[in-house]
Amino acid sequence: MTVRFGGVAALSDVTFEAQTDHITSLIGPNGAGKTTLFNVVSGFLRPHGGDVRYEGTSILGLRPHQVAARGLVRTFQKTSVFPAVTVFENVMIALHTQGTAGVWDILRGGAKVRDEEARLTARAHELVEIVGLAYREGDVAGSLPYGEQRILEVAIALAARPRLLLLDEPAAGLNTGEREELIALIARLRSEGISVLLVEHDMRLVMGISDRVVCLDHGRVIAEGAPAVVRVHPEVVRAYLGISDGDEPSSSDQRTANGQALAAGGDTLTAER
Amino acid sequence: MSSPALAVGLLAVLLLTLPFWLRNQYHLHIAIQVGIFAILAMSLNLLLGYTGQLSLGHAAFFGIGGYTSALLSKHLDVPVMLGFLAAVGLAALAGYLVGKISLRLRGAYFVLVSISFAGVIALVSVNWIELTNGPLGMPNVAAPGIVLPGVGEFVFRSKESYYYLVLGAAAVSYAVCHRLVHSRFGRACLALRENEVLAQAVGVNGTAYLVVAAVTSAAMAGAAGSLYVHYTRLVSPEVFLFSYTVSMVIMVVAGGKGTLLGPIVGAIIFTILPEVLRAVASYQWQMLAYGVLLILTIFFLPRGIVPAVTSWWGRRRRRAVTPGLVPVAESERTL
Ligand SMILES: Nc1ncnc2c1ncn2[C@@H]1O[C@H](COP(=O)(O)OP(=O)(O)O)[C@@H](O)[C@H]1O
Ligand SMILES: [Mg+2]
Repeated sequence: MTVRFGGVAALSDVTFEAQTDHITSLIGPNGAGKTTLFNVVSGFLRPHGGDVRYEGTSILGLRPHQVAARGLVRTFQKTSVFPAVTVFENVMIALHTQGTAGVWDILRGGAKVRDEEARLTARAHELVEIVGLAYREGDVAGSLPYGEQRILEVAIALAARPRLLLLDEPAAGLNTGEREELIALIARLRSEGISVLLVEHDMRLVMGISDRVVCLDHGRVIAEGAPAVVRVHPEVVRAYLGISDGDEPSSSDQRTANGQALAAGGDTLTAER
Repeated sequence: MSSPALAVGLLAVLLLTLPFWLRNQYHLHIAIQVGIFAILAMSLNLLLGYTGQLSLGHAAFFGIGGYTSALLSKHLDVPVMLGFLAAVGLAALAGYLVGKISLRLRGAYFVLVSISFAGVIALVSVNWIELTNGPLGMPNVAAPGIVLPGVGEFVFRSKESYYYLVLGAAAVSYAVCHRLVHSRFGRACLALRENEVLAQAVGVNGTAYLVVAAVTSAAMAGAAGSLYVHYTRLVSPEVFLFSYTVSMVIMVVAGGKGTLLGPIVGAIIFTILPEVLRAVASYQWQMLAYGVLLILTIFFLPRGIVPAVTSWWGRRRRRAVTPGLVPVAESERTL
């Protein structure tokens, strides 16, 4: 696929594949085009060229809610919850595609609608518990600390019953404990048959958990393959070391740090925001 | 009996017996006005409070409802109860049109389209003289009646009977709002109000739900319009006045938008207040006092009266129940 903003190509001819039952990670320096790619796949942005195929059919041109209904659910890089309602209600809202009651059914009432509400309520409690926010259930989402809002975002996405979950920097800003919980959660998703496409700067997280890694730089795929291969790929190291041209100095410091960490085995790499 | 259930029971008894102890016809008239405005405010709240979309042409749906059943009964002798249904239906259709045109882009666009729509409809009511009798309107609109088997026709002509009619309609409107709000539909509306992008990402079809909300809201306003003209027994372009819309917005915002009781509390206060002021002050002072009270309410209770009272009550109860809070929460947390 190809996406241009004005004259700038945010994605040029990017082709890659996320396999079923895999955790595929998408890495690359800031501005590489990762979020843009998510926007295309989830129907928020129309590419200037190319195609997005899911389970054999093109999903290009579908509106975001239609994409979600097919089981491709995304999260956002910038924290995104329903701020004025409770944690529980956040998850209830996100169970939308798991219910069928229409307005007539709701106005008439009756057992079918009540049963559905009971089922969704039970599921919401279950999800809140799975992500470890049960003790926060009644709290207004906007009042949660940052880390817990990020965890809530994952619960919201899970509520929409994804078969392919797209996570955009879910670990950014989490503390070590929260990060461990997130890693465990992502691993658990795969074991439950949910494929994951992960954008993340934390190389330790990425390299530890991924089945495959795709590296973008300046809107192009510069490397892809098994984590161990991508990590030592010269292009990747170069992109992270920031040898390549024309970036503002502030981010290249970060790049250098990341590049060295990468070369050293990716243990201490920090989130780049 | 728990205290909320007791409160609801008392309120029901109070409302059902009102005409028996409120013998003054003028007071009963105000009670009927409160009921009609409560329906209007609930209707606007469905959009403004739960989806976040502001309809500044809401009087149009009120007026369409009023004209529809008045015209049907005047020109075609349609029984008022049937005319009422037609009024609800036509207002709903108008809501559908306005929604379909403007809710894809929504926000300011919806505000503008709803205002323009109200303007056009008001012009039609003034200028289509053969049909509507123009600015003068039409007097002697029929009173609604129902045929009771074995008894004959009962006509809602007295204030007492009309009070019950309006009370019934308000109760149905409340029930409709209650069901919608506590449902998959209501949650989809909330999602759109709170975070539209995230709502789409979890599969909520924004435009479709907003249109349904607009249709339901317009239908309720149409019902209120029909009740209004068959009560005053007069229909004129007055029903399209912008001031009706303004009153509705004030009631919803001051009472508490996005709450079920807010619009009702707002309707009670802001229907009775002008009447009280009228009794004690000249027109200028009335307007001034009304304005000052409104500003104070919005300033000190920005979320409205009902949310303020609810959170005050919640704080009071928490203090009373758990002195020195223990981490109950932690123990509830399981894997
Ligand atoms: N809405 C937009 N308008 C203009 N340029 C954009 C827009 N969104 C992203 N870009 C540009 O596209 C490039 C890729 O951005 P993005 O996908 O956010 O990168 P990443 O998520 O990998 O950090 C950047 O150069 C960015 O400035
Ligand atoms: Mg990004």
